[in-house]
Order: sequence, then C-alpha cells, then structure tokens
Amino acid sequence: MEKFTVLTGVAAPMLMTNINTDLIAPSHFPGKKPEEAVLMPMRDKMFANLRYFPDGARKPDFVLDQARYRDTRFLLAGPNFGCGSSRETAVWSLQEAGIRCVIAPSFGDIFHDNSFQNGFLPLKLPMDDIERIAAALGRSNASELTIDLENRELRVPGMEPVAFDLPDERRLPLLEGLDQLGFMMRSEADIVAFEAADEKTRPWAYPG
Amino acid sequence: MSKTPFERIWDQHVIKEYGDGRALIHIDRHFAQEGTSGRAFDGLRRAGLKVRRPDLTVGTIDHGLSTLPGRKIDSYAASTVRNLAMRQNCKDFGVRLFDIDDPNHGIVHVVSPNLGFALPGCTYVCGDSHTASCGGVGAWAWGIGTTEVMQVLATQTLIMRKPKTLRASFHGVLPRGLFAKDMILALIGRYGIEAGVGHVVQYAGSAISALPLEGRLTVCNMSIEFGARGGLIAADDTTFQYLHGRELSPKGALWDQAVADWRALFGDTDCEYDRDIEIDCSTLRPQVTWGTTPQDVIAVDEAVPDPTSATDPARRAMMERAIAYIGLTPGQKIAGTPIDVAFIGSCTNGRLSDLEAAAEVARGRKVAPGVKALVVPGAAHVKAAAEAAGLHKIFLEAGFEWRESACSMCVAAGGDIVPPGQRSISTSNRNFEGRQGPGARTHLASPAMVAAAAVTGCITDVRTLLN
Repeated sequence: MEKFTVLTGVAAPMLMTNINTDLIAPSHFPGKKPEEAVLMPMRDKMFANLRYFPDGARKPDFVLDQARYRDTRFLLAGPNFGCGSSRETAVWSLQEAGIRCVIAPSFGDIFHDNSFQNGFLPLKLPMDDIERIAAALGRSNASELTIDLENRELRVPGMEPVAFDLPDERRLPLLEGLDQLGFMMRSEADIVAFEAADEKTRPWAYPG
Repeated sequence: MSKTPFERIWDQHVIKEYGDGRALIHIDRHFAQEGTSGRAFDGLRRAGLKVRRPDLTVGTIDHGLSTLPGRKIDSYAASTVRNLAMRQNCKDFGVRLFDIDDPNHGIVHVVSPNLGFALPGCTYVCGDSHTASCGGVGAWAWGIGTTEVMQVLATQTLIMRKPKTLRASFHGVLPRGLFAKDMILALIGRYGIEAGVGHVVQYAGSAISALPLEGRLTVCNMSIEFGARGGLIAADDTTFQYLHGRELSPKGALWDQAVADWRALFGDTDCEYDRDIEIDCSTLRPQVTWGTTPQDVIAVDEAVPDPTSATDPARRAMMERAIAYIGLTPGQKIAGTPIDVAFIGSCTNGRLSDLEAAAEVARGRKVAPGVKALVVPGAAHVKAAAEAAGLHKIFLEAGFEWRESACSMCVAAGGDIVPPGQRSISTSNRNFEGRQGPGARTHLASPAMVAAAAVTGCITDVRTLLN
C-alpha cells in the first residue's frame, strides 16, 4: 500500500451531511446502460448522481468539476460520511480519483474501517474546524492544505495548525503502508490453538 | 450487573488481544456473495493462499440477477462476468455455492437463517451491510468490506475494536396493521441514523420478545440504517423452535448442548449497557419515509415536515435537499401521494411472513391503473412456500408481477430499476438518492403498506383496508 506521511494538495468542500456510499460509488450511471456503466472506471462513476442529471447531462455546479478543484486530493465533508452500504468501491473510487483523505466530523463504521484497510485516511475533526478550514481555503488562491500524519497536524494557509488525534494502531500502518493480512497471518499458531480448544467447548459451532 | 450477551460472545471469540483496544476475533460463519467477494478471491489467488476453513464459508449469487421468470445466470448482461466468476471462485476454492437453481438459493440474509447457518452466540460476517439481519437469531452478525472478506477467507479471523453496547427497548403491544418494519423505522426516526455508530445494538423489550423470528430478522436488518454494524436479539424459545431441525443446525446431543449454552448466554438479563434507549410501540401508527434517509420518517397520517422547523442549520439543509429530490411540499399530507412503483421484497422484507402480510391486503383487490407492482420473494424457499400456500395466485390475480428471488429493486439490480422521477414505495431499507435508480424517489414502508399503496395507487394507511 502507498504510504501516507506528509501530503500537500487541494482540498475540496463537500459539506453535505450523510454522503452515503451509494452516492460515492453508485451502481448505475445516469443516462448509460448498465452493461456500459459496469465497464467504466470507478473514478468516472464516483458521485455520478450528484454530478449528472438522470439523463446523463452534466450538472454545471458540481464542486469537483470546477477548475480549482480538478486536482483534489482531500475532501472536506459533513457528518456521517460513508454511511450505508459496505461496498469497498466507495474507498477505491475516491482513491482512483486521486483522493487520499476525507476530513469529516463522523463516518459510517464500515467505510471507516474499509478506509484504513486501503491506506486511505478518514480524518475526524469537529464540524466547526472543518467549516473554518473551508472558509480559509476559500480565501486562499490554491485551496491547498497539508496533512502531516507524522506530527498529527493539519496546516492550512492563514490558520494556526490544527492538531488531530489518531491512535498509533491506526496511524503507524498508514505511515508504513502496511497490509493487515500479513500481520494477521503471523497468528496462525494462535488461531489453530484457539480452534482446538473452542471446538471442545462449543462442538456444536463446528460442522461435523 | 453481569456482562451483556454481546460482551460474552466477544470474550468467547478473542484469540488474542493486542493491548491497544484491538483483538483478533475468530469468525464462526462467513457467507460470501458475488458482489463483494470477487476481488477477495482474486487476492487469494495472487498471494497463493487457500480458503483456510472452507467448511465455515458458503456462497451465493444474489445481487446481479434478473428476477424475470426463467432467468439464467447471464440474463442480466451487466452482472454476467461477476456471476460466472463467483461460480468459478467457489469451485476453485472448495466453497459450497448455493447456485441459482439450488433450493437454498436466495438473498444471503434470507437464506442463512433458514439454513441454520447463522446460529445464536456465533460470530457471523458477510460482505454486505445488512448482515446484521442474522442478529435476529442471536448471532453477533456484521457487515464487512472486501478486504475483510479476504482476511476471513485466509485466516478465519478479523481484527476488531470492541464496539460499545446499546440497548433499544421496545415496550407495549404493537397495534394491528403494524409490523417489525414499523418498529425499526420508528426507532431510526426518533433517534437518527447515527445513533448506533460504534455500537452493537441489542433489541429488547416485550414487543421484541413477541415478534416471530422473521420479524426479528427485519428489525436487526436495519441496524446499519441506525448506524450500527451489528444488532442482535436474545435467543429464546422462539429462536430455538425456528432453528431446530434446519439443514445446518446442530443435531442430536450437539443440539441439546447448543440450546443449553444459548440459554446460559442470553438468560441473564441483569446487564448494564453503555446506552439505553426506549420506544413505546402501543401508540405507533404505520410508518412511511418522506425523504432520502431512513430517519426521514413519519406516521402515515402525518404531514411532510417543514424544514424551517429544524433548529440545526445542517439538518434544515438536508431536509430542504430531501424534499426537493423527493418532489413533495412541506405541510402536505403524505397519505394520498400517488405512486408509480410498488416493490415487495429484499433482505428486509422478502420473507414468507412479509408476503403473507402483503397478500392479506392484495387479496380480492386490483393493482391501481398505471402502477407497476413487483413481488420478489427473498429466496427460493420463500417462493416455494408462498406458492404452496397459493399466495402467488393472490398476487397475480391482483395484477402484481411474481418474480424469481434476488436483491432486485432494492438496489436497482438485475434490471429492476425505478425510472428517473418516478415514485416508488418499497419494502427495502434505503431511500437514498439514486438507490433505486438515478432520479428515483423512494418511500420505505412495511409490506402491508406497500400492498395498500399498490392497490389504491397512492400512499394509504393500510389499517383502512384491513377487516
């Protein structure tokens, strides 16, 4: 997995509440047949129902299609980002589009875990901070901010650095780009021992 | 105070603790579906790994299937590649597949309890957010992502952070014409779609104990709409009677030991939860959503709320957006709103008792002119049982379509899609923008309410149609 250390890039404001995974990674593309849509890259289908009218015409005001947000690497969002379906395509779509982090006050649980599994950062900040950051970026020319995961702070032009919490068990795998499965597989002996003991205690839980 | 049932299940499944709040948890049961497992199997292949316990995983194909009579695995072209890959994956890795002609084929969360695959006190996962359905039999059941599916296939474990516990107590007696769906919608409406985040919800109280098992599956199904990955109901005699003798349930002496273990696990009710919330069922009226999240819900005799009544600006903005999308007017009575599509099915409400409740309303009536009405049984066994009881005739005579089982219009799958701008009333679980198709407008309700709307052509209080 790609490491996440200190990243600088454009942050786009999508301050809506409850941006669910159906909105992020829809199963259909407006105006296209399903068999065509299934072949499209995920990044092109991302947010399709916010980005296009049902007939496939482009909505002129969608934030990520504005010139200043063309190279967006971070999203600023409202509460409960990624609620809904477990589809990991929500994370993969954002990543395919070059986005590495969503900053929101809260996240849907499954999206939150799926993000970390992919080296993608779901960063929790209070809504007040997010609104202040969005306002500061709106005043700046570049809309760029820096996420410093090593020092756990966000640097935004025209603002004091914003500190954030992230426990080491979440942070270190991101910094090192570690894949969790390799780590889990080192416990094979423990798993075998657990199953042997558990099958004696709960024999009904194991098929004959 | 003793530990909650969830905490006891957690303790029983900890293989090791990492000292930072995480634990390696053993997974008793895993159900793979074609939509979210393809990349996981591909990952195993690339890494040269096997499915570690093929005896603890089963699979089916439920999302991308046509529901038209006589459908084949490739009838819906957009999903053919994925469906065929699922067949190949199960074959290559030695996983039992309930293929589309198998009598146990159907939507994972409908098939699993019926098979006795999901069991009380077990850890149970599937790459689908509605996996919590199986909490209805007393399993700790939760939805996972595709990377986690691969981890379960490879190790039969997941690294978990212990969720908090929330008890939602449903008091009183549910009035006639109301169902499990009304209970869970009312709960989400009152407490919001984020209330369960970070929690395992235990549904409790007299109205839950009184629910038949299928209703319990419906309540637990929508845990994720309440924000919770997992939700469960204490297993009791209702559960044991339901599970006894099912194909994969324990048999003989193992069954007796299992029941004794389950009674011990769930018998102690003097437990302390991190949060306790309550709802009184005796005053509930049939629920129907007016907006684009499941918390946007009112009783059928109420009016669409006015966004200016919301004090929180973010909530007001969401309400305005929802009302614009759904095409209603604040203050307008929801009853009487004309509908174009009525959908009865899904993992939420695609079980036999759901079809019975809908058929009771449809019997001797006709689907209103211009309304497309679909009944999609949640599994082959549901379809067979409904046909044995003659329910399909009631639906067909009324003008409903009678289909093969799959996820269907809940998620605009398999070709069952609500056209842009059309209004659907649906027994499914999500009224999100675009969920039933780009521009589709969705109202969630119980099967009886959906049948009532189908035969009247508009959102209708089903109690006015019951004898």
